[in-house]
Amino acid sequence: MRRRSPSLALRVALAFLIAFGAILVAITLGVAAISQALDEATLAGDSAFALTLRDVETDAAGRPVLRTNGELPALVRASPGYWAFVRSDAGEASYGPVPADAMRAIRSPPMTEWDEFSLTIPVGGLGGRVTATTIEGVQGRGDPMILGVGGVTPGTATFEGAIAYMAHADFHWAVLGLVVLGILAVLAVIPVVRLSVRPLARAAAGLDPADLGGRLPEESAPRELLPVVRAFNAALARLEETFERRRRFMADVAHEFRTPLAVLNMHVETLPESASRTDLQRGVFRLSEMIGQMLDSERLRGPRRPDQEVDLAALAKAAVADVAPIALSAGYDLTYSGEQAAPVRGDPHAIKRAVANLLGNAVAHGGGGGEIAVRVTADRIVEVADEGPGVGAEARERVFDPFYRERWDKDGCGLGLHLVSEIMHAHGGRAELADSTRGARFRLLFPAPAA
Amino acid sequence: MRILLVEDDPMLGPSLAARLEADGFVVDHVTCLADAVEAVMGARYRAVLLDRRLPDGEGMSLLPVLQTRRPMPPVLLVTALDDIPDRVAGLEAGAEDYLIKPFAYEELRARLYTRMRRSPEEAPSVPLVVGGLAYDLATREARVGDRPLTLPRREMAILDSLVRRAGRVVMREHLESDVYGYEDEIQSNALEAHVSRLRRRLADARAGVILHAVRGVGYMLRAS
Repeated sequence: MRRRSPSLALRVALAFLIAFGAILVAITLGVAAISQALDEATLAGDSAFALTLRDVETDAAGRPVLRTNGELPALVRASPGYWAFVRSDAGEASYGPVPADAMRAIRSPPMTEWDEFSLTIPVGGLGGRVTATTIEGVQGRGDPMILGVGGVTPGTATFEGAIAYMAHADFHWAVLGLVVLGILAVLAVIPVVRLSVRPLARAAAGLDPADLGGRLPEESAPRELLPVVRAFNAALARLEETFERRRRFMADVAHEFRTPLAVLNMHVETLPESASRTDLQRGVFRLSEMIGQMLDSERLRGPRRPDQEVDLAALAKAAVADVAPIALSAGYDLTYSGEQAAPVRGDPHAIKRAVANLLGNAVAHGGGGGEIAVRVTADRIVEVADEGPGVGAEARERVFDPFYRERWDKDGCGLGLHLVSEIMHAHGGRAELADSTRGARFRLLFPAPAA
Repeated sequence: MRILLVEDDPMLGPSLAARLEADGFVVDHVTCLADAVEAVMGARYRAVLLDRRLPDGEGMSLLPVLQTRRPMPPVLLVTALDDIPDRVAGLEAGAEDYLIKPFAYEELRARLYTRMRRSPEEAPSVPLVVGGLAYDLATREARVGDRPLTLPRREMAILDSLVRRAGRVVMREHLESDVYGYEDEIQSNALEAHVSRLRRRLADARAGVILHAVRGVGYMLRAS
């Protein structure tokens, strides 16, 4: 089973979610802790208020008084800074150390608004202790009053009370909002990551195997991917260097072969005319053709490939002229017909080589006689046709494969036709074996030169 | 007819020198750049055959030295480097011709003669031989055995071109420019007609040569 490679976007999103979850939990816990402390204090204020209210009484003159033998002493025992202050139109009473600002707050509203008055100050306190202040208007026994209590410590509240209080808070809305935001952020991460690697992917797809100087553009890579891009480019540079070294080595080897071949050729020429001399000459010719093909094959992959306007007709004729001595002495007739000029763009050396290889192929497999006809058409097609046995059905598919020589190319090295198709590919065209009633008919199709 | 051969290959150099000498050249054979410079400064050569890859450097660096000589001898680069830029570089640097290894000796000799055509009085006395045909470049006389082969002017011009490049195809454009002057009007079939007459005459004279036609491209003369 094929394992799918892990998605970066998915992993980033996952990490993001985990981090987000952790933050959310921390925030919840922190808020809960803080609010619990605050709420305990507030709750303490609320319960202290209710207890204190029991101690509020009215004297004979209708003035409020705080009974000192009721709940108040117990509250002071639990919270040593506890205070209470009560006010009505008739008068006011206090118990414990009432802070001045609390007293101002209780005294400031007009008594007509007693029933609208409710104030809870959850924080405050003396000596860093959390206490609460609760001020509320109450309908006492008789006149309306405003009662304030404060200095209550949280310890006096119950946990059940705290939970009940929290349920009322708006906190859960905040949590829900944060979760929704988090999911949206995660969904946004995936396309952002994809988009940011797209230019790189495009550049990588555009790397031309024929041009080893190609690199990924560092400027379009996200900073996080720069190490990968640099490593990739460094690997490309090493490959280019290796290829270039190998290419130069091949070229050197081929060049080195040529001088001894020249010696061989010169001595063969001086031999008296005979069948073995013809064989030797053919051997030398084939060797030098193969070396030429190796060099051309290497050159096709090398840098500085020429791209110029060339005349296909002139190149085809030159190829015919080059191959003619061998073809004529092998017993063939050679003809050229068609256009006198057909402009294409490309490497003149390679194009001439492609035609020469087709001709060499025709000489080797054209049946040893008859006509080898070269034709160049106005729509930039070079056709090389022989009158030999043609190409068998099983070989048709494979004649352009490298080193394919089974039966078909039994004394070549099998590179000739492959090189032809490589050359055509490099020129944006193609080589094909056309249908023919007699002999083999190869065609080279060139694209129109861009204006 | 003194020529300088600069070729470091221990087999190719001596064999080439031997064949050139057999054809009547006086050959000074050196195997490195330093010796070549010394030879060029000390003697006057009618032509220089120059290899490009030499043990002590690039053969083409001899060209500036040769350019100081008056007259500068024609230089024929004989090299295994056949990339187009290589050729262009060679020709731009002042070489007159470029021959790629492995070459046919006849081709090399023909090109040497072509380069030296400007001074026919110095052409070698040994004629070019193709099959049973002997052709004297200096006097432009053709013979088969002891019998001189007399030809009309244009057929002679065609034969001259074909013999110089025997064993190779001469493009018909080249033949036309060799055979016709600027003022001559070329009729479309004129060249074919001249060539077929020449072919008949060569056959009649039993010259032992074949004049091939490569239709649409050119002609080639070779020993039968």
